[in-house]
Amino acid sequence: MSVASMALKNLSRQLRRSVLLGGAIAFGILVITVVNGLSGSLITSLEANISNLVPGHIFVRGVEKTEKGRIILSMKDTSVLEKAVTDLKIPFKAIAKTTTVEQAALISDWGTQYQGLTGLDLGPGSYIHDRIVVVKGSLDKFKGSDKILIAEGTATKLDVKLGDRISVQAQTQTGQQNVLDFTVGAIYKDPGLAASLAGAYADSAIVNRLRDMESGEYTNFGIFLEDVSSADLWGAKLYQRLSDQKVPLWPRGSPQDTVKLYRDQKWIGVKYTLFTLNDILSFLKGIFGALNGIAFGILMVLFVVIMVGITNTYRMVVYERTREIGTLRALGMQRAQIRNLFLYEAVFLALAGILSGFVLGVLVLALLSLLDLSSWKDFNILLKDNRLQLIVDMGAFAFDLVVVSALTALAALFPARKAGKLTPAQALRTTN
Amino acid sequence: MKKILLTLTAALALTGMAAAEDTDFKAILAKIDDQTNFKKIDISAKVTVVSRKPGEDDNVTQAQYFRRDAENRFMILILKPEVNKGQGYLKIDDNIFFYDPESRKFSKYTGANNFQDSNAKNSDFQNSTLAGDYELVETGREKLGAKDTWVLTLKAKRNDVTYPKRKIWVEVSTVLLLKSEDYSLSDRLMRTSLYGKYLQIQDRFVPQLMRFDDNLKKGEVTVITLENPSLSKLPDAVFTQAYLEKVNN
Repeated sequence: MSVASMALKNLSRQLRRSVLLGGAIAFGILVITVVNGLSGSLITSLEANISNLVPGHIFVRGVEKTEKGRIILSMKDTSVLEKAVTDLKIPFKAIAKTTTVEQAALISDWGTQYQGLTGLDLGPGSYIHDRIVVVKGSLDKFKGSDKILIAEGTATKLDVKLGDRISVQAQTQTGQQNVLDFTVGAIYKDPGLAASLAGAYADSAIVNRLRDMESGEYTNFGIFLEDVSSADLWGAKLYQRLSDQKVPLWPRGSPQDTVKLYRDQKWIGVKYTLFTLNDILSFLKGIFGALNGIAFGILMVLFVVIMVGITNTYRMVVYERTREIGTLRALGMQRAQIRNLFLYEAVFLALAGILSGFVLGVLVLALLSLLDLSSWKDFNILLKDNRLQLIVDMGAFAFDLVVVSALTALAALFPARKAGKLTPAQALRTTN
Repeated sequence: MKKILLTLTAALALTGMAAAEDTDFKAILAKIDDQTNFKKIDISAKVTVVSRKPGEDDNVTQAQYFRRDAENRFMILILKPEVNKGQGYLKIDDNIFFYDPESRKFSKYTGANNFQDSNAKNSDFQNSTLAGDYELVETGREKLGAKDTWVLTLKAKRNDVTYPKRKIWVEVSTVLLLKSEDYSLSDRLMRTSLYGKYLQIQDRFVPQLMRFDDNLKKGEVTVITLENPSLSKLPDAVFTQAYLEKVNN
């Protein structure tokens, strides 16, 4: 019989102890599997929902600075950019040319809401049709009209319904005050916390009038990729291609970082900034990454405690089985084999605990994904179809498997080595 | 008798029109700017801004206001409410910096930004620049209460002037601005401003009372009062970012 099979048999002999120790390991793995799964679900849903709300996965903006230091976003002639997209054969689903008003005041007789306003082509082929859920009205006949599309929450706060008139106040590109009247043409499903991010939408012609921009001018060139996870890859390639063609570009970074550069530097003409969805989400992803890190840290603290328990338990086990060790040594088993016997027991215990903890964790995640969280309206942005997604991070599981097994083996190492050092005569003389 | 009265009325009207035609309104605009520009004098005062919005409690802000028109600078240091204490606005030429003592950072604002969530703009705290910013489109005359005023319709000369069109009421006897209607690029009335209780300091004037009514958001009104004006020379350091940081340490 091999040492490994002997180890397995020994574990079954002390079932209660094995279950308790393995259960402690399983509990730790259960916790970290659920935490990793939840943060994975939240960030995946957030990414998908944000990509529905912002006009693209890769964005390019043209930035000018006036003599008085005012920043103007403007895209006029983008033939070089569009050629670069074609030449690189970037696999996109849609291109969105939009005009963004970052802070517009939507004013009704009952209140004012400050939010972004996006001017875009709302015709049949527009990306917006796949991105939002219209609950009242329709996007028909928006083109060339003064119709506005607003979120449910905005409509409630302004106390307006389809057909009502609202005024939208904003600054022009050069900082002048302007106001235009719009008709509520459609209302879309509230994205909850991200309502202010989503904002309102209207035909680009009327938004350009509000901003005192030329017809055909816009502020954002957005690319919707077929695979959102490739945004960084294609973003980097596009940036390199534009750089090779001597297009004046800002260094890559998050939108917040590049805004600081606009304020501090002077330049002439239009300089372009490129960022991806991940650049926008980097801050949030950092938070979730930190959450995972904290969970792992807590798990490690938990395992240190478990390791102390395993070490003490194995010291007791070695003490209880001293005569057995003596017998095995007398029958010809070597020191290393005795040591390995106990190590195998510890590792098999860890594996059983890890696997059962993982399976339980996945079950918990599966049950949580069945819950209908539609009452969590404010947190829609973190859910998919009002539910958590079942996300199992196999990479994290593999990492936990290796680390926890190694730690368990380490915990059992000292008692195992001590067992291996016992001489047969010494062991057999023991009367416990 | 009726004929005489009609003739007299027509003559008076013609006289008024002639007077209006003779009036150099460009010079009037320049005089409005000049009278409210404290060229070689520093001015400081306590400012109270009361902002009223329907359904909300009045928002009262008290601040210390420092102005040096010779260098095109002003500084406003918020004293109350406690939550905003230490915030500051520093104007240097065309740049306005807002200081937040919590983050210890400066943000760049413009004259078009609202002051402390009120209907007043940051540009309302600087000296008048009507002659430089606007050209005359139309003139008229009417009574504003008991006061005889010129009514001037102005169009912005540049596309970075906050209000593309303004209609102003200027008191004939004093050449001081009494009322202003501010219009958007789409010719929509956005704000009505009233200026009163002018305080004369040497040969300069400063309104101690300003009222701004938002014509888009019904019921929103901001009233600004100036108290305890002083003409003492101010240290140069007051008009620096370092001063705002120091005051908050």
